[in-house]
Amino acid sequence: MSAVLHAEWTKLRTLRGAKLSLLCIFALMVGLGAIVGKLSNADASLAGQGDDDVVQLALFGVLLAQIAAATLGASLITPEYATGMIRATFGATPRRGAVLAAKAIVLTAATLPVALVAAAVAFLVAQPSLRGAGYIAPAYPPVTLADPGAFRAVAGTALLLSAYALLALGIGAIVRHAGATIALTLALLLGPFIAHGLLSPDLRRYFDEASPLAGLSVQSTTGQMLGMFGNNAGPLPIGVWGGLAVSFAWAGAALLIAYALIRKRDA
Amino acid sequence: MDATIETHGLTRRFGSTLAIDDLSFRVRPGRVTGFVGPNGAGKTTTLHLILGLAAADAGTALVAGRRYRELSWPLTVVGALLDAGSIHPGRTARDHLLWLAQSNRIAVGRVDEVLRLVGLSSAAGRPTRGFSLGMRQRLGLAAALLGDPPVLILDEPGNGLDPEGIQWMRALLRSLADEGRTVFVSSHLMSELEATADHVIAIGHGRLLADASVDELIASAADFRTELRTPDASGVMALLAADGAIVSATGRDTVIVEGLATGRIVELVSRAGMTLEALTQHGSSLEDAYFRLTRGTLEHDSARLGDLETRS
Repeated sequence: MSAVLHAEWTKLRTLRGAKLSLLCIFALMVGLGAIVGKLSNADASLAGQGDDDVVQLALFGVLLAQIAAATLGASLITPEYATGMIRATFGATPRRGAVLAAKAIVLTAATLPVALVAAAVAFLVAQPSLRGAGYIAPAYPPVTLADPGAFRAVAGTALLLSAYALLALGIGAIVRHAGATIALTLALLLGPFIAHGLLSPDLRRYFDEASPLAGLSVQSTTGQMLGMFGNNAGPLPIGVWGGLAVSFAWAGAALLIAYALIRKRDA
Repeated sequence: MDATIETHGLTRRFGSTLAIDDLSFRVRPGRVTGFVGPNGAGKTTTLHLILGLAAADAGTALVAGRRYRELSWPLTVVGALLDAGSIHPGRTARDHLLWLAQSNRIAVGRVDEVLRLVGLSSAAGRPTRGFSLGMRQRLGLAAALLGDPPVLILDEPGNGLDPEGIQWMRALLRSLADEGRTVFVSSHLMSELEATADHVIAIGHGRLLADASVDELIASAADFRTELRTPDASGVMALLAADGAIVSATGRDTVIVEGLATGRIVELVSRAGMTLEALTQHGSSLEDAYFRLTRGTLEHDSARLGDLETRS
């Protein structure tokens, strides 16, 4: 296993597209964190506790960074099919399950630390921006990374981006085509989001609990979900960790299907 | 290690098409074995079955006595050059060989060694995007040699090489075989193999057509087709046809004779007191032997088509 891990790490390290995707995860998280104050305003008339989740606001760049994460996951497998390199890969390591596992491990090893730093920096640069937009005490007392809720949200965001990268890897191994992989992954990630406003409350709840989007709940520090696309904030549909587990279950399911297919298909 | 490649009753279908049909052969060490057949004969599919890239519906393929997928470090047993496009264009030649070496615990120093061997040292740090087809073939060959394997399987290695490159490739294959390795080289051009191969396995429509030494094949072809010039074409044709030859007139005084040894033709014609003005022996090259073999499969096809028409 260590040999194939070593090989897959070298492949990732020497893939320009992968490095660009990692850079995009960082740039999108931090960039959107820095301008969040321009996009959201606190209600200045608030006297008591504000009801916006400033932690979640600071990390809302995840909605774009997830596109880069999906591209990263796909880039580990679909170019191999496009160029025929997959035959060199399976020729060198005929245990195809081990190849897929190694790809999943090196993908996580690259995504998680980059996403963690990106989320932490995004959180930090968002604070002055949010203060400038009126998120100030007493309605909004200052938060720091040392606050348990904030720390969990930052770490959870990094885990969530890793789950989305793994989901794209699994889908990429199933459909073996770059364009189709990105399209399918984004449909899964953004579809529920876009459909949100059109759905009946029952269906919306179902989507919130069971779609890959459920993991966004890990960002919540108020027990509420951030309102999306003009929707009102609603109660958190699923526990903060439960949602993350749902997102990982989607990635795991895609990788399991990929494993079953990859073993019997011709390379 | 017994570094042979052997297949036993190898069979593979694609939908309703029987791509590989009960194919059995053995490729031995210490010589260059050509693997020939027209495009679409099933050469690449056979190689993929041997390399565990595709699964057989029936039969087995063994390398050094084991199924490819059971080899723990396959690159140290079998080096394969498949289509030269199997390289990510954004990676450098050295990085491509690096991950391959790491995947099979091959010493990293071997990477520069094989790059030197195939003459790519100066291009090692460049992305393969800018490589010519010939350079990609060389890189593919470097990858095949990386694990210093006793068995080499090369799919059309001459593709994209210039005449100088082909000469170089031939010499390399020869020296690899002389070192005692098993060298299995596919080609759709028999002429390409004539100078290199010691032995030939020919297939058509997934079936074995020939498994013979190059000398045997050339000998079998030499006696097969003879062109005669004679003032008495019709008399000679009748005479030879009576002895079992297939004869056809190609001009007023020229006749093509098939299926009769040249010596026998001369004997029959002179005994009958007829005149021969000229006699040309065709089929003295491997190419002719090959045409004869593959034409056999074509004839077989038209016969089968005929059957179908009668039945319907």
